[in-house]
Amino acid sequence: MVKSVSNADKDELTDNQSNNEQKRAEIAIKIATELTDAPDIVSDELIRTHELKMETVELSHWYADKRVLSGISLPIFKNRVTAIIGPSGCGKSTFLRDLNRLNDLISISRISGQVLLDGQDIYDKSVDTVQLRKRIGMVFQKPNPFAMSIEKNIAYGPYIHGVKSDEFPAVIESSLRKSALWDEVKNRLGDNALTLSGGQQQRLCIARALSVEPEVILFDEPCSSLDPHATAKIEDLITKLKEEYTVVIVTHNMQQAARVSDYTAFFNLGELIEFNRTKAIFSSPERKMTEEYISGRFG
Amino acid sequence: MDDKKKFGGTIRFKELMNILSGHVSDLSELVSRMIDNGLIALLEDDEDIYKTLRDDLVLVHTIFDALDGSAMSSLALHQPFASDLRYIISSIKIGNEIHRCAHDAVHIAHSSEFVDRDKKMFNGCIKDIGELGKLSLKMFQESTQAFINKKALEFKEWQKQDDKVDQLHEDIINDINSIMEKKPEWVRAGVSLILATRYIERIADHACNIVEESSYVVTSKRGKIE
Repeated sequence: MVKSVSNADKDELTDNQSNNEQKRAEIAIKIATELTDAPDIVSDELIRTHELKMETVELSHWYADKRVLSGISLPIFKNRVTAIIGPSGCGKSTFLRDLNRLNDLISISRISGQVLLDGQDIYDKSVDTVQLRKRIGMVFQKPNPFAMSIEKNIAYGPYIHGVKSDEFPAVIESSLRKSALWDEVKNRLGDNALTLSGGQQQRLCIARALSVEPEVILFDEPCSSLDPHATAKIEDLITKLKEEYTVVIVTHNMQQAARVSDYTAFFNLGELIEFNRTKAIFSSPERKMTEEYISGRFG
Repeated sequence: MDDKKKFGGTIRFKELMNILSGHVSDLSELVSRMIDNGLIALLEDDEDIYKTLRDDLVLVHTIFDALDGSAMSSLALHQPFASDLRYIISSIKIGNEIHRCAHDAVHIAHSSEFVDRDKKMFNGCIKDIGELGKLSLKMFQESTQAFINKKALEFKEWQKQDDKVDQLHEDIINDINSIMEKKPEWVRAGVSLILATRYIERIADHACNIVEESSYVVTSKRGKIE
């Protein structure tokens, strides 16, 4: 405040200046930390310094003679959400299903290139696909709970993988808590899962995927059949899940990719057009095609 | 306001909005101190404070850029609606108003350079400039707090405050002009003080603009403090 200057005032002024310097330093550190924690673009430096959970190397995919993915090389960072966007038929779901070998079940399907999980190729002959899918869980577009009780839906996976039945209650509670469903169903665990709402069923499917303690969770359009409120719950859940898991999500909804993901890959006609930090993709994409797609000029 | 209810949307959006709000708060606090120090520099002819203000200005630009980035991310990634959308748009505008006040504070501090204190130049006017500075600083602080706390202030009350500042500003300029007519050798110092007075009056104008934006965020209605 404006005042006449006495010695006491001068002391106060000196104190104020000292406080100002401290405050200045605090703010500068805060902003520098923000920038360091969230660099705007994916760079070689970022790939070198951030842990990769998965990586595809020159991954191509054919259905019979038709090539649907062409040489996709994509890093998937640990404990981050990576979104795959692109118009219908661009190969994003095929790519997702290649990440846990779900396409192996299609006889006319074949791939070339590598899909690495913790540096190991999941298409190596020695890999047990059942164990692989335990490590890489999947949640599908439409909620698909089994027509059995809520608790049995959760316990089924652990049962198949040899977990003892006396451990089921803890697994059920833990999985339902992680999927933010526990408070809503804890008093009706014996009810048929089909009695749950669509949003609850989808969270049950997420809990079911979590029950076998995966490391990566793949989401294929997880909210396409849900209303905005249930969608927001799933999106918040994905944000929380990334603290423990690595998440890859395929979505038609670009806004959803923008809201939930840290990194976004844009596919078109089986090619990876652009991969970057989500913020960069949605505010200043490098490729003209990406700009046109996200701004609704094609696709 | 309950922090959880301050912003809608997902967890990530709330986090981003809290960062944006933090930038507005940091910027307001820093520039409030800069205005205070700018006035002290002018009234007490303290050159060291002027140098400090130059350093502060660098930080103001850093926070302003960060605020801009947070606003851009909030818009690009979360497609906000209603009051959240208005808050972001107004944050950008208010950031600009505060940023200009920071420059005004530096100019105010610099205005002391041509006033020879040994000759007791314009002593009475300088005292009045101090009063004007107090009023403008108070308006700046109240306006930024209103925005941070999402409050709509009473326009009529602000109209009175702005009128008071305008009147005092005019009186000071008239006084300085009268003195300059009698003492032409003091013209350079006089012009410098007129400019300082103008910068201070502009801070009050910026505060009014901030109050208008705060009101828009809360009520969704555009209003004007004439």
